Amino acid sequence: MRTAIQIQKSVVFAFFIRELKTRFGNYRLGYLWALLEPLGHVLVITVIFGALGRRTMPGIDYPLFIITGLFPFLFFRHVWTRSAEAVNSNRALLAYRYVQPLDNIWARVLLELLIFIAGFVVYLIGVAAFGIPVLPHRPLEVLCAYALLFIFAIGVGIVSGVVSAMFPEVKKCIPFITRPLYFISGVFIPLSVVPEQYRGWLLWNPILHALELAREFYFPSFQNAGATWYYLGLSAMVSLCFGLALYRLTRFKLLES
Amino acid sequence: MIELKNLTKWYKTKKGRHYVFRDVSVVFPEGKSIGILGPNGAGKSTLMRMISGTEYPNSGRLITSKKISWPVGLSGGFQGSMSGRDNIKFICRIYGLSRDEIRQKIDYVQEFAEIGDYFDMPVNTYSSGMKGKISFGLSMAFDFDYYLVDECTSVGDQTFKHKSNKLFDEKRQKANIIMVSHSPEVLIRNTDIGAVIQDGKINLLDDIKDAAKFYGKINKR
Repeated sequence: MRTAIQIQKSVVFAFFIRELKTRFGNYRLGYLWALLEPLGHVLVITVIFGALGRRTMPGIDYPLFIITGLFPFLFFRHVWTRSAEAVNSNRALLAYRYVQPLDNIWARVLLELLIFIAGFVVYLIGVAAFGIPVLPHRPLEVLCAYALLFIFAIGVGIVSGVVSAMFPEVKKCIPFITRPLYFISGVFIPLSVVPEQYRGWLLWNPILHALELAREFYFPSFQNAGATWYYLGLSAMVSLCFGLALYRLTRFKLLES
Repeated sequence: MIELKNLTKWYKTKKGRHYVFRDVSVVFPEGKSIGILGPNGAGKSTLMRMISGTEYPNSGRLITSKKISWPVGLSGGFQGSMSGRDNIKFICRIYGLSRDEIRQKIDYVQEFAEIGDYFDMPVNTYSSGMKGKISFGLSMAFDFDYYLVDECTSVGDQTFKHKSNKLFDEKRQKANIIMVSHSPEVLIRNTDIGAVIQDGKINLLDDIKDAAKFYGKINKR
């Protein structure tokens, strides 16, 4: 007999390999695409906002600044959008008794995490090749900010997976939220350039908190303009608990075919 | 042995709860193949899904220590853009098989299904017959105590039908089947005891022939 944790592990592993194949297997140089997508972002943003960035943040390399925000942001967005299909598109597999509705979400989160880490490291090496120091000033705090964003993303992923499985229309609305989110999460500008009276509004967004905090501890000269550990931590906890509770309440419904 | 203990199952509908089973307690004895009979909508498929472990009762329990298959011939779970081989690997991984065991199962299915080069092409390109062969072969590649069969077991052309029947008979030397069918003849040929579902209850009869007669009577009314 296998224990529950062994079963879960093998199912998530099976989904993981499957995701890897369906996501990258169909294209030539499939894995390279995961690295090229962010490159487009970095180049475009640097061209448009590079001057502003260098003026407002002397002593911080602007491409490096983007990287520290872009990768975690893309991770979050991918978890959100890909989880939306994760539950529904694999309904048929629930006929295999070991498969549970959330297993595919875990696999996708894991895959996105690996893409995030691999992409981040490759880009850091790329920037370092220009002779720019790339290592974080205080790595533990940076890691902590990213970890909290990770937890926040898991909660959002579960909610989006469960809700889209029950109301497929919802999936169509997701792009309307994720697109603007790109501009208000501080991916390419620090919060400090935003006029003070608007900061309060932007600070409702937990992702902005994660990016500001990560950068505060990544770059010694970066000025955090109001992000707090308290808000980010609370958002992560609420998100995760809400997601798991929602799943707990709906899991029988999700299993019905 | 499979035991249903005070099992209740209902679905939510617009008019409130629709009860499929109400406080059912039944013990399916060891070593017998079971034929499930009942009018349309009586809960045959629901019972099968609960036995296969993909749906749960609302109250009460379903207790067993036996290895129970997924519905034999299930092909809905195949990912269209992946090859038959990769799909089989995926199912094997779910069941936690080692690399060697996976290779063994793949060889078995490949030999059984006889679909040639299609085995390494995307499942999208398969005919429904080919899909059926792969999924039937895959079910047979695993050793279960109970095989669940819904409606018809045979797929594909005549020679394949013959081959699959033979294989299935071999399997039944060691294992049992739980079968749903509208045809009493099919059940009498394949199973030993009968479970007739009627008005949210399960009537267990020790002989499938008696069960078929009983079902004939309630169906006529």
